[in-house]
Amino acid sequence: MALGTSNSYHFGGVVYLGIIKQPFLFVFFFFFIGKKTPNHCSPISEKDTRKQNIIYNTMATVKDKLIREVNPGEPVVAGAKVTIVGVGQVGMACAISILQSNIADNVTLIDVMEDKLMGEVMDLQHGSLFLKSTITAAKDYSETADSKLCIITAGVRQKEGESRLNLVQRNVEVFKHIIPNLAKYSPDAILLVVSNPVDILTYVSWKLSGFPSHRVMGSGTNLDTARFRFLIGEKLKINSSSVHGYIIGEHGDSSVPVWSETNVAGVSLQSLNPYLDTENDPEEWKQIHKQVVDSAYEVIKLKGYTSWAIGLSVSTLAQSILKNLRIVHPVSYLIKDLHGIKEEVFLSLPCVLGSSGVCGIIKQSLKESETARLKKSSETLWAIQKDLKL
Amino acid sequence: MATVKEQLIEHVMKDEVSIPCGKVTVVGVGAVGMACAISILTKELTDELALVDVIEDKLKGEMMDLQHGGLFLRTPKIVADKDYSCTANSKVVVVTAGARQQEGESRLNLVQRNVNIFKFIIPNIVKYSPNCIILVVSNPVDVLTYVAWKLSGFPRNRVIGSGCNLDSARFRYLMGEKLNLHPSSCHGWVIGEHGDSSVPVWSGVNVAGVSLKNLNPGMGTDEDKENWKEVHKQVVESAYEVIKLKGYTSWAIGMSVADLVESIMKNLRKVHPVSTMVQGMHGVKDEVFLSIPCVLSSSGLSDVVKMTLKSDEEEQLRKSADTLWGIQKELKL
Repeated sequence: MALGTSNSYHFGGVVYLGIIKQPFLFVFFFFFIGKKTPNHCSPISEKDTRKQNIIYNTMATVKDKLIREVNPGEPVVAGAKVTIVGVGQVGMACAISILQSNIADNVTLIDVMEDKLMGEVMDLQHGSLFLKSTITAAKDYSETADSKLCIITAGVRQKEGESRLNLVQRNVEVFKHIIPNLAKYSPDAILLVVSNPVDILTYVSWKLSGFPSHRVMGSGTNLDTARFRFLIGEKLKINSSSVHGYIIGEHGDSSVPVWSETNVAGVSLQSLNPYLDTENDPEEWKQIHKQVVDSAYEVIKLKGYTSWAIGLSVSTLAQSILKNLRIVHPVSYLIKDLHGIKEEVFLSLPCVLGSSGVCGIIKQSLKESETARLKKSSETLWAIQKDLKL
Repeated sequence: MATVKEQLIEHVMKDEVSIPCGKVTVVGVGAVGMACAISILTKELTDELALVDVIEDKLKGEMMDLQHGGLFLRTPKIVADKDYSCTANSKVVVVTAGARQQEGESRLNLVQRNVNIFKFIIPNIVKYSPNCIILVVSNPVDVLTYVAWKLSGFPRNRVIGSGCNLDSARFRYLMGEKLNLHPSSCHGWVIGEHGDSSVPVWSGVNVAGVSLKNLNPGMGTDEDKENWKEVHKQVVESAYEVIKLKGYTSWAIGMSVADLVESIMKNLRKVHPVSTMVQGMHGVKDEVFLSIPCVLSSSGLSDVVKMTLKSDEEEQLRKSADTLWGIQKELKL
């Protein structure tokens, strides 16, 4: 007993056979053929099948003839979905890095510039053969629903010579539209803020979303630390992954390199050169931190913007979160009540990242000078934050 | 006083000159070049990446931006210079330099502008990497692959055009959308000219070996109620459409180039539709480059697949060949 090839398109062969014999109801019959119904595999006779096939084969699509659907209409279990807000250079670099690292099942992009959004998504989709994730262009925030991770790169970018703090109010207005929408459609998501000034905008996102603080973080000094480790690696002729050191605090001009804990294979560099973080150092190690601070400005001056490094760094954060890896990354997190900070500000500290967001914070033993700098940063940030209209 | 490095590390061997074993150079740091670069880096295909361009600031900025991501990559050396000496000893050189299509402009319009640029680039590549494989991406790719072949003096196995690798990838993506399958399970070949007159080989289109044309004999014709011909039309228009929306294309071509580089670097002997010298095949009489399925290995393009084409498909290839030869014979090389 054979089954017709298009069983999924009708209720039961026997019922319709009566209609087929009446030509004037032909049109009516075909009206029904297009409608998908649950697959009732009701057994039908060989003769009925042949009669059906004469009709069906002229109307059945290649898809119907090629594939027997099993369980059509069963809801697709949502996988790891990442939404990226903003398809500028940073957003797209995050997208391509995440896609090529195979950590997300779906990457959804959203932006106010519709043509640019469609073009970028099309360009990515044309490469689907080489990827293992699906890509979606969200026409509105409802399509970002059920994201596990939302990455916000939208906003106006630093102009040549402009400091990060100057961007603030411009970006707050943009966030007032974005954050509540993300929170509405993905109430359990983790928010990862990349837009600058990242520490302030992470605070803004926390306030506007109403999320618990462990689910709101900023990319912070993850990139500064990567640059720091790269530059030290160049100086020592060692791969950056074997150089251990953290830059913490504000992502920007007043970030804090924790020289006391910077090491290779556990050997503290400062123990070999006690003048490492002073002006008296003949090797000028302090220059490395200055280069990190100047990095962004320099790349912007040369190519107009930065994209690749931040994209790659965000992808590693995404990976730790989506795969619950519990890897330590320096990210911008609510630092209140740590290191003597009283204000509700976000600054970067080494945090353990997992599927619930920030799972833990590493309690570094900071020198007084380092804690003092954190306090100064938090005061500067709070001075700006308290005047923001949220 | 001993430096930190001296105190920390003891060098225990006599230094040798290290020659990179899998170096890749990308010529041109525009959107396409950088998309190729980031794809090659994230796929970990090489131990050294070199970038070349004439715009020095942009070049340095792009190099720095990639280097700053070094912690997240497994390519320890990323260099860039206007001078081609930094490209020395490359295994594969990807050429993306040249003018790009403006909105509505066809690829063939770009020819003479790009030939002049190649007259500078190709001899420099050859000088510093005489044994490399040149992978041409700049448009019009079929003509420029011919130009690169002539200017380099390389044997034809070491000059390859990215050709219809991307067109076929787009075709398979669109086919996958129509059938609700992943593109890697949708098999279809688009050959010939990378551009308006590419040829979809409908007879070969299949899923799991099931020929779709057998299921739908009208496939590819105007009589087809499912309008599969539209799929190929969309492939041809893809680039124009993306350019109209975002200004240029980058991601898809970058990923498809990395796919080709992977087959070469890892000696995979995978079959890809890329642009090669097709004189003597399918009735083509002139020295033109068109895309046909080719085997890519560490020697470059070692073999070609002899497709069984319908007479109208061969006719289309010959027509493309004539058009391309018409342009090529006027070029001042």
